[in-house]
Amino acid sequence: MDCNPTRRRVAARAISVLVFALALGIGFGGPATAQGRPIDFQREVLSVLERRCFECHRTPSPQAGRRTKRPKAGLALDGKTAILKGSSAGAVLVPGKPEESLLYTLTVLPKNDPDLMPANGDPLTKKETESLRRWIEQGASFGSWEGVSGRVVQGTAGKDRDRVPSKVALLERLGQGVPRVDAELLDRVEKESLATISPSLPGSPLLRVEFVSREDSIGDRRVEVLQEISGNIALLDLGKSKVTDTALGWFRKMTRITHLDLHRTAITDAGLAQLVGLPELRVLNLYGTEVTDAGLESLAQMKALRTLYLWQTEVSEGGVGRLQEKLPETRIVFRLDLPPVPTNERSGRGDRRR
Amino acid sequence: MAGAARGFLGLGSTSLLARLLHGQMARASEAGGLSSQTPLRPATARNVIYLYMSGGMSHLDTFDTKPGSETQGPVESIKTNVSGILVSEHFPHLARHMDKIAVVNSLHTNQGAHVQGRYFMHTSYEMRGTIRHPSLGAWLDRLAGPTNPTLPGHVAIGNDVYGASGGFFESRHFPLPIGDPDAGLQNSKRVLGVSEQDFHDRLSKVEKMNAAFVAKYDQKQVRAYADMYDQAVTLMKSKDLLAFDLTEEPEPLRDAYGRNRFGQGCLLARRLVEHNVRFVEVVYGGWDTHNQNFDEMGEKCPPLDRALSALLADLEARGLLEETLVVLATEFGRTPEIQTERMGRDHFPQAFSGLLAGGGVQGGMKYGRTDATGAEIIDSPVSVPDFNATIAYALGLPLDHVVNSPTGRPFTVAHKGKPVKALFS
Repeated sequence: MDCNPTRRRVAARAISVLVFALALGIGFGGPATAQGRPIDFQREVLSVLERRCFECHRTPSPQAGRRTKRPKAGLALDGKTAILKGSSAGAVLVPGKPEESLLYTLTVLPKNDPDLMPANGDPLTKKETESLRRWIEQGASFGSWEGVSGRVVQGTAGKDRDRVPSKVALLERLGQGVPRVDAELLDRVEKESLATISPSLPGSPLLRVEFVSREDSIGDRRVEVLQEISGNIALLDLGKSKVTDTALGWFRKMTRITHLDLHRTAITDAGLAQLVGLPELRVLNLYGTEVTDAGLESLAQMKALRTLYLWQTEVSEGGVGRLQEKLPETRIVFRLDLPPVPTNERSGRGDRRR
Repeated sequence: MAGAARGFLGLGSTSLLARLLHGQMARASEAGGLSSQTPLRPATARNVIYLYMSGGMSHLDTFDTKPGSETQGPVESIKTNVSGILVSEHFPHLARHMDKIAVVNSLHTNQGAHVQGRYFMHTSYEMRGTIRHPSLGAWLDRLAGPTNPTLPGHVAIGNDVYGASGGFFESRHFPLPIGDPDAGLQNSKRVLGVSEQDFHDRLSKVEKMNAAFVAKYDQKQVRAYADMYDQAVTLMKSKDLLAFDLTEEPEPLRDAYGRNRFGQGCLLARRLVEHNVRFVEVVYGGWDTHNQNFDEMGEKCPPLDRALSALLADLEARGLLEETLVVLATEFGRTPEIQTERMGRDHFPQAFSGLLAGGGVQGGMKYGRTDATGAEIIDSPVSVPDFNATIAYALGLPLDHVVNSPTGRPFTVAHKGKPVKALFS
């Protein structure tokens, strides 16, 4: 110690200054104001929020049979996201700046000020407001607390504004530049054929042709006149009608047809052969017809087909399998896949339950 | 329509009724259908079969299972024919049709009581004392019209069909109620002892007696009364009346749907859609499982599983699923937290599930998610109006088209709902 008396004196002086400073509660490297230990958010701030604030400032939730209760001023305080989001007027918390944070400043207004928070009951105690202030001053850290994550009621419905279902997109594309059928011609065709003709899409030149509720009076004769509007037909429903293979011969000119429905008609394999080459045929419904495996040869060439209905026809399972290999992209509906009926529930056993 | 205008259009001063009596066929365009004035939008579906599970169907025990969570209870989950999609063990048959179905797990509502919840789900508006809002089926009939002019455009099957309603629309948009699908359409035949000629004569006399009154007071309410007769007779004379007769279907098929009101109701719905009835609702009640939830679900789910599987298979085989949207809806879900004293689940509007299939909907997908316990929506919430807007979007109904009530207040088909376009292929 004798080798450096000056250093010893400086050290002693420093120590006494340090002790003196600590006695005054002045920390080194921190803000000049009295601070001390870090605030425990959960114990000192959240407890206050829960007791004194949540009642009016809760995230909206459904109340049985009534309108949703919304938080006052649009400010929810029961979740981290909600607090940071603030009220309908803006942020209520500026980390580090309690004097700019409404979350604090509203709690220390004069007692008769109408904006004093909490709005009900006694004002917060000095200890409580101090904890709040120091917490914000220290950076407003929430620790691991999340609270209610605040349901976003808007959701994603309404996004994808420009997205169009593929069915619609196809008809839009095919209808581009196609000349409309003259109104007079359309009227004549409707009268002669007894068809109900409507646009495939609103405003589209491509048409939908069907025979609602009068299929049994529709034979080849009625359908012949449709040839005059061949290029405009996109959807043709002749299900349950009396058309035969003869009519299919006329459909060759329907270059833009996408959906053809021939279910429960008397068409045969020979008729199907006439349909090969329709470039846009996507959906073909042949359920309940006499099509056999021989007809599948024609179908195999319809590369544009996306869906093919073959239930209640004469085709074999093997035939369908082979067709599927040739048309890997096509969905072939061949069976009626019903749930099995337990033996004791089959008809004739009496017990008909409601 | 003023007499002069009617004459100009060739309708003379006779009603639709008179024309029918003279054997003239009604054209679709006259029913206000295919050439209606409302600006329609592109559609992927024409028809809706709306299956309504009345009472608040539990989502955790059906289509939003949480294997391993203590909120799941004793119900196991099973794999389906779509990798990544599980359903509850109560749906083994439907599990083989999930490739046709889009599951929405993020439905939410703010109506936690049955009557209000059902109302909101059907109409997209909250119940209030000042007006009765129309339900989706009535909107479809009003905006797009029926496809088959001889049949009603809107039918509701079940003995608890209070959700469906024409609201403030004209009476012809109200659903035709069918209490018991097995019984067919009641009172639709001429009474025994009244010949065809008698019937014709009587109706002509009524027509003549009303002619002067109708001409003098040519108003909506007066015409509605006459219209009602027109529609009744149209229906009676329609050969499509057979659509209501389930005895036309083979017994094994009827068995497959399930010999109960709901199963046969679904079969009737298929028949009606085949005959171009556009909106058919089938109600299956009793889902309010506050007590003995697990026992009750064990009883209620199998008929749903059977009927819905049969319906989807049946529609698919006939090619009807292309343009028929099948919807499974309920008013709210049920609490993930199980009330152990009564083994029940209570009302839970915060999150629940619904299904959509056919009519352009992308099958084999899930939309929206709840958290690990099934309590909170964590991804893609879909409000009730959004759900209805999605159905309206599929049907090509204009979402912003305003119809005013008789008191002049404006309403739209799905209120402020926005369609979930991601659900369409």
